[in-house]
Amino acid sequence: MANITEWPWPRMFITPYGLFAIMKVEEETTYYIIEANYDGANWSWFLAAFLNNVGIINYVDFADFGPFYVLSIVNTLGQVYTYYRDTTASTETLCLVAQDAPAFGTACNFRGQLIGGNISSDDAPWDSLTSRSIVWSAIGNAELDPGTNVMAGFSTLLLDSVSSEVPIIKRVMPLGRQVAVYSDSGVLMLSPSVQGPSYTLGQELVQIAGVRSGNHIAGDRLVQGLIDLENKFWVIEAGGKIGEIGYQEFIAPIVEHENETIVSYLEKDRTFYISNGVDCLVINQYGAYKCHQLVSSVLRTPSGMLLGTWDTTDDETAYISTDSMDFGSRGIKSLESVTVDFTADGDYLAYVGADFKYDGRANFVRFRDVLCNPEGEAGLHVAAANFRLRFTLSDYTNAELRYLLANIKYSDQRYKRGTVPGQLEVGR
Amino acid sequence: MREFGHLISKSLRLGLRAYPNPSPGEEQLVECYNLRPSQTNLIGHERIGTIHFPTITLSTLLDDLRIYYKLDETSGTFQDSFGVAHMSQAIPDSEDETLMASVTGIISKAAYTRQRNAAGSAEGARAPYVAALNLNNTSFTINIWCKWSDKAYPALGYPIYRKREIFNANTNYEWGLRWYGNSEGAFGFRFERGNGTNSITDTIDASVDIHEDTWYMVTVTYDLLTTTLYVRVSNATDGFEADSGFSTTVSTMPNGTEPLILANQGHTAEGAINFQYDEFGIWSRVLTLAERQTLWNDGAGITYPFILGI
Repeated sequence: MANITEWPWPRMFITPYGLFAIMKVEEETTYYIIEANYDGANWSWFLAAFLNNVGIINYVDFADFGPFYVLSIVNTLGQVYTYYRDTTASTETLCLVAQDAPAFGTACNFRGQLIGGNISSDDAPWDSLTSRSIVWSAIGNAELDPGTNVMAGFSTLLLDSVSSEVPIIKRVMPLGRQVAVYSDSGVLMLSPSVQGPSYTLGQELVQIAGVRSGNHIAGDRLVQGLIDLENKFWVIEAGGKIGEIGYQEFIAPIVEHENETIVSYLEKDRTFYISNGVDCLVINQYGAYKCHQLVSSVLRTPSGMLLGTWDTTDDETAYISTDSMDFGSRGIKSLESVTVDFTADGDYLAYVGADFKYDGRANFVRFRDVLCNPEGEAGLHVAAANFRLRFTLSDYTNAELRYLLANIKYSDQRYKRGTVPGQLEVGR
Repeated sequence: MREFGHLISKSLRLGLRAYPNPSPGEEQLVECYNLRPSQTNLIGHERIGTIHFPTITLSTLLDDLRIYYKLDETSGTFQDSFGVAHMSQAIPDSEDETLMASVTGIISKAAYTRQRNAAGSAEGARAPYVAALNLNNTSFTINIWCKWSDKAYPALGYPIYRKREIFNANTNYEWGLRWYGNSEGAFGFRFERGNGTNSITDTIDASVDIHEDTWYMVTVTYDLLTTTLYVRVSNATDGFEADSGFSTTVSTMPNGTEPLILANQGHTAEGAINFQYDEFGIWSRVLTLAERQTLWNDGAGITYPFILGI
């Protein structure tokens, strides 16, 4: 049963030290901040805060130091709020304490150091800082004033304005030995630099367009994925390796929907869930697929259970469509039948179909789905230049697909020069 | 067999390979196969389990709440937990008048002040006027917890809260509650309705026997339909004041823009009196008996956001 009550809430947040949940009161701009614990069988909850004065929350960050954690919030108006809890000193419920000297919209624990980005404060020495600034604490404590501890400091980052008058830092996240800073004007990697008693963070620009939202980034200390301003998906690894994954043709409709798009990360298979509560694209190290679970957060328990917060489309159909194929010939050919080797549980119906087109400039036309016979074969008998094969199974539970086999009849030899495919002995 | 391409399908990464030797006009077999090394769940994805979140039960006390001060801040600046009518400490012209949460309250800390020892006017904390403070033409409930010690004859009384500018006696008086000495010299509570200019038109005395070092929950309700004003006092000795109370009929509260002031000290005093205030809220309706009982909570009180269970 799905547990999303109002997209994307509730959500779970996992840190190296614990679990946090944020629940929203339906149709109210009221949120519960909850510390969660799961013993393998039962959940226990500690109500840390009831927030009704932060507007509509857009994204949040937890910078967890074990006995002390910081919660940063950005609302849909771009206003930032920061709260903290000393778990040993404050044990009563609703004990989260607001922090405005300074407040920051994103925060992380970088090797025992609190890093905050997108700063707002009326208090010196942070009153000149802006949404493109960061602060950092001394190591092992939350002291942010460099006048009190020389290890603490602040900086305004070298971000060129692209999509806003003043660049806005959306997320700061630890990535290996660096801090990744994701803004709407680019991505920076910060590296610690110690010169004598002073400490600062060196800046290195990464060649990725910025991000629209703090919700468009997810990952851990080794791998992080993001949707850039052009709706491309990227993966950045600790050590600096950057990979353009793409999939913008699938991501764009999700991101452009009025619902906020949330990227969630699961360590296994480097899986990223991209969902807006209506559609969900899953990208892992093997490829991408869409699924019926519309995920706003996901985690794996120590016992291996995969849990999360999600809504559902209730469409549990398994569906595969290949990319466009011409089977090595530009002429018209006939797709006679498709054979499928698969297994699945329960009562299911399996169909094979195809999209086809004659003209490379035209759109694909949907050809009917044909029910497979018990042996897994279905006759289609459609002639065209390009095909996309489809395979549909009414229930994906424990379904396995081993191959699709297309039987093609090459009847059109106009574009053959010299030997025909058979004479080429394709595959030998 | 020759593999001649990989496809990134919409759903899976597939390989494509052709089977050999179709003669012209004959069928060629082209196979799409899955490259995923695991042979489990090749189609679709690993189903995600459900987290069963706790059920949090809220009281109906959140309904029609206008303002709420927990009075827990040690800074003397009191946040309106529900709205924006935040209070700041103002005119602390002597240490004795500093109003700040430095003592144990009915819940967490309580605002604490002492009566000044010299003549003059001062105040504890004030919230500048916001629309939420206007109780004109509406039913309402005002609830506050109070405690005092070092009893002395209250003379003209000490305002607990008042919607009136303090420093000029001619400023508009809208409404307020004060500690009050009745004709027998005992302490009680008096709610006052001003006329919107500079004088009081109606008073209602809750003449209860008040003891030192005891928390009292003083609930003022006004029903616009019946024009009935009630003052009910609950305390550790007599318990919860249910249906009874001190009532009178008055017309609606004045329509004004005066600030709300907590614990203003407007008069000469004799000796020192310690005042404590906690859990101060205003609603734009008459709270039901059950809701007032929830606020009382067997003498332990309840604070915003009035969570009954998790």
